[in-house]
Amino acid sequence: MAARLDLLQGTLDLLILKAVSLGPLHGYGVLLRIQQISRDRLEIQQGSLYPALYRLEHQGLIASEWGESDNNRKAKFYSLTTAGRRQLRSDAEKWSQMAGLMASILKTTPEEL
Amino acid sequence: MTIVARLRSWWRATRYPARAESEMDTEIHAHLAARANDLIATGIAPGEAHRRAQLEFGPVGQTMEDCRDARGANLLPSLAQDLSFGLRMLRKTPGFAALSVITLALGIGATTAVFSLVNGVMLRALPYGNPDRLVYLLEPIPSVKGIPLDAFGPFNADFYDWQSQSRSFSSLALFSTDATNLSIGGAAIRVNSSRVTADFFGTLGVSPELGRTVTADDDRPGFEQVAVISHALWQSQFGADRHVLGKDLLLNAESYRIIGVMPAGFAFPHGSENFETAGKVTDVWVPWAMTPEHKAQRDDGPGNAIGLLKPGVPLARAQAEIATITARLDNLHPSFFRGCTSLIRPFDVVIAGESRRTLLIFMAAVFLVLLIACSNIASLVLARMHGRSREFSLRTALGASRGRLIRQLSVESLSLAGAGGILGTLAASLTIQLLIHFHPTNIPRLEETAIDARVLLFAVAASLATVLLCGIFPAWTASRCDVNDVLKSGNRAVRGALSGLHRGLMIGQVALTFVLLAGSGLLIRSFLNLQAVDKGFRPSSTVSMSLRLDGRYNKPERQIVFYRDLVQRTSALPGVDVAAAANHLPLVRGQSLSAIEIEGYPFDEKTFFEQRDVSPQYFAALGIPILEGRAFTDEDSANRQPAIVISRSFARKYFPGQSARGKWIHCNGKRIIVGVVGDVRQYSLESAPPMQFYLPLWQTGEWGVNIVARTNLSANRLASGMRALVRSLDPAVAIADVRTGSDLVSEATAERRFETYLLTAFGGMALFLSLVGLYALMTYSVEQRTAEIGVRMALGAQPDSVVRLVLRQGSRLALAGIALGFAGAWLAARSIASLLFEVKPTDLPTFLAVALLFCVVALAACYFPARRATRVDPLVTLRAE
Repeated sequence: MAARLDLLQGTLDLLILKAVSLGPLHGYGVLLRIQQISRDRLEIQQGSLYPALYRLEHQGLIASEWGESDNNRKAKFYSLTTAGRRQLRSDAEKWSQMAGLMASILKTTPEEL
Repeated sequence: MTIVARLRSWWRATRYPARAESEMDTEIHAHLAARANDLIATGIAPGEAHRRAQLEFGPVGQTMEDCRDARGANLLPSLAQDLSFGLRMLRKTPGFAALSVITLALGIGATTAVFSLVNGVMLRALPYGNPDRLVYLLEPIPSVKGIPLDAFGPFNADFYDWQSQSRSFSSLALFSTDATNLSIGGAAIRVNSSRVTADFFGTLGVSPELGRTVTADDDRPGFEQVAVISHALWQSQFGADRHVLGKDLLLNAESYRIIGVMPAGFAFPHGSENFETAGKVTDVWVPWAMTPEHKAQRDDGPGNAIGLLKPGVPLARAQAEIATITARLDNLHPSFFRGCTSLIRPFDVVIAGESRRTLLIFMAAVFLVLLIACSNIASLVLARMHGRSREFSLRTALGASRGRLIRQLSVESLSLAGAGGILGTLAASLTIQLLIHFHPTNIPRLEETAIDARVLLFAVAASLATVLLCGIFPAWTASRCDVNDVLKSGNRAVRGALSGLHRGLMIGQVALTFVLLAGSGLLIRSFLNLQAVDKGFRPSSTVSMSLRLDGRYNKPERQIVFYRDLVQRTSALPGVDVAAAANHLPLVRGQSLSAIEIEGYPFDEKTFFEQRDVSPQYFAALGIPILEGRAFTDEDSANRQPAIVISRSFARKYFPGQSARGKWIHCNGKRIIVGVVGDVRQYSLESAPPMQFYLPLWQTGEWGVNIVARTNLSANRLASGMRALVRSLDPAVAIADVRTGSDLVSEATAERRFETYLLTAFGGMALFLSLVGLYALMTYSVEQRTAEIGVRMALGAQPDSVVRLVLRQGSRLALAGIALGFAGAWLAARSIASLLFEVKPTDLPTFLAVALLFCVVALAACYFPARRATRVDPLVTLRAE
């Protein structure tokens, strides 16, 4: 399943998993956390966040629980499941491999051939 | 794990939709509020902050819909939506829906009915312990021609040697197929009986319902006066009395003690043999109790042998072992019976017998019908899809995914297939009733046919396959169409000629139909030929019945006295013109073959002649012409000159160009030929008359005879008169097999009639489907070309030329199909050559007639759409552009 998702969707899923792995977050918190750790370099379409969260929950990679937010509002908190942790590890590994490979390919100069 | 998680999430979403919805709502609004708060914190006015939060988030409705999809919450509601939309679309085009359902029902119905038949006859397990290990053992002599293979039971001594020397069998048994007079309450009835050796029931693996079966102790001379009876006899004659064991049974005027009752449904050997006995049941089994003298005979073998292979022993090994033993024994036979071989045949092969090939041909025919039905459906759906391509483009433009479209169309097709499947199953059960009604006697176990679970499964599989074939493919092509193309070009882009696929389907369908029709045409011609064949006797206004004498009549003189008396009294019955007796009637199975010596020719022991023993009036009663000399008279009796009558083909072959009268033939003594009579089709209407001779019954005697009378009485009237007559002569003798001459003929043609009706029905069905298909296609094509036709008419085209335009298009398709079908049928006809009678498989008149029929049907199918085309109003169509 995961292999067939397109790059963008897969990327968002991975970002969410990473964000949630640092501690339980509600939806808006996930957004803020991603912006924070990417130092605002990533623009996330807010509307697309929730379908991704629901999909990940549907797949059993994250779990949700209702609780109180900082400003005492009712909020749904997402946390990583064991399956999610496994998924995060393997996806992260794939990403770094891919990134390394792409970087080395793109750095190639005519002399090296 | 994730599967469980998915199911749980799907279940929650589906089971508690309201809660899931409100939670989702809360969550998203919390997000919006939090975002707005953050914006306010940066100094933006509250109203603007809320607006910005909303804007950044995007369309909330779309997000929520995506969330529902992500959780699988949408599956059921959207399926229901698809279904109701699909049904609405089908209701909008009732003609399409009706045609599709009828087509499917015909296809599925025919398939299911024939599959039930094949299932009942070929696939269903036999009602015996280990049917796959049960075999028949035969001992044919290849040099002896003209005798059916099944008739070669083993010689008695050979059987007992097989039994003692072979290692491949758990058990071997011998049985006979007899008819017996059973006396009950002063009246006698005829029942089918069987003499069996001790291992008979054990070999078949059946246990009695009550009491016991025949044991080795019973199977000894002097101990054999015990009988096992059938469930049916127990019910009808003993009122299912559980105290029936030990009671007496009067069989052939001898007393037997009942020792057991077999369970319902067990009727072997009469119930499930392929020769002579199909459609009957065995009611009484008695021990064979063969005497040591009989056991030692190597020139007589009245029994049929069956065996149960040991577990794991392959047929080939058993065959090889029996062949070795038989080869060793061969020299012990009298010279006439040397050259014996052995043959082992599995039970199911023997029982389904010849009908196997017929059933396979029907399977092929029905498969063609299903194929035609499917291509018909496909072409109907294709036409409809073309008409709806704008709808699909619009839906795609509004955001429907291809998967969603395919799902929508699949749901539509599935509801069609479901309706077709249900209707088809009903049609199938009706068809099975019809098939059983026309039931030819020689398809064993046909009457057991019924729709069962397996057949229903097959029907469901057939419907599903049809759906896959017809629904998904058009759905796929339809959803592939380019949105821009269709929308930009208005209506015009999808109009034009029929697609290649569409034309291909139509041509293929016509071709397949032609093949089927040609097949049924050939069978119809065969059937007509058979009806017209010269039988050699006049069956109309005759009634016949059979009777057998028992052991008290063990001298020919006693038999002759009984028969002479009976024939004489029968002739005197009011309404009877002539009465006679004969050992075998024409067209009824049962024959006796003899090797004879003919004047002027050396004795050839391997050439057989058909022998019939008849009373003097036999030729008159059956209307067989006397060509030369005379028939027998009452003077041709015991102490007179032995006489013989021969058939025309006999006389032509052996006494060409001269009179046969006065020549002698050696057959139970030297006999003088007194007459020559016409040839009679003795075994079946389809085989040429054999060379035959007749002996006077008053000189030979017989255990069993048929009484035949030329009369204008009904069969029942004569039978009741005869019953009284026979009872007055001997109350222990029963009358059976009462039937008219036309019954004889119709029984002899039953199989062919059945085949012909069935294949003609298939052909008719195929023709109807093609008619529907062609009609639908042309209607669709005319609709597509409305604009073109409008332009033509605006430019002055006459209605006639419009009709010609449409007819030309339709007939080109039909002609291409006919040409293809002609070629296909020409090649395929060879496979049914063995079903034909006096017709070549490539009978040109039949093929031309079918082609002509098809042309007429095709023209009719195209005519109405063409008429509709002429009613096109040029103004309306041009304005619509």
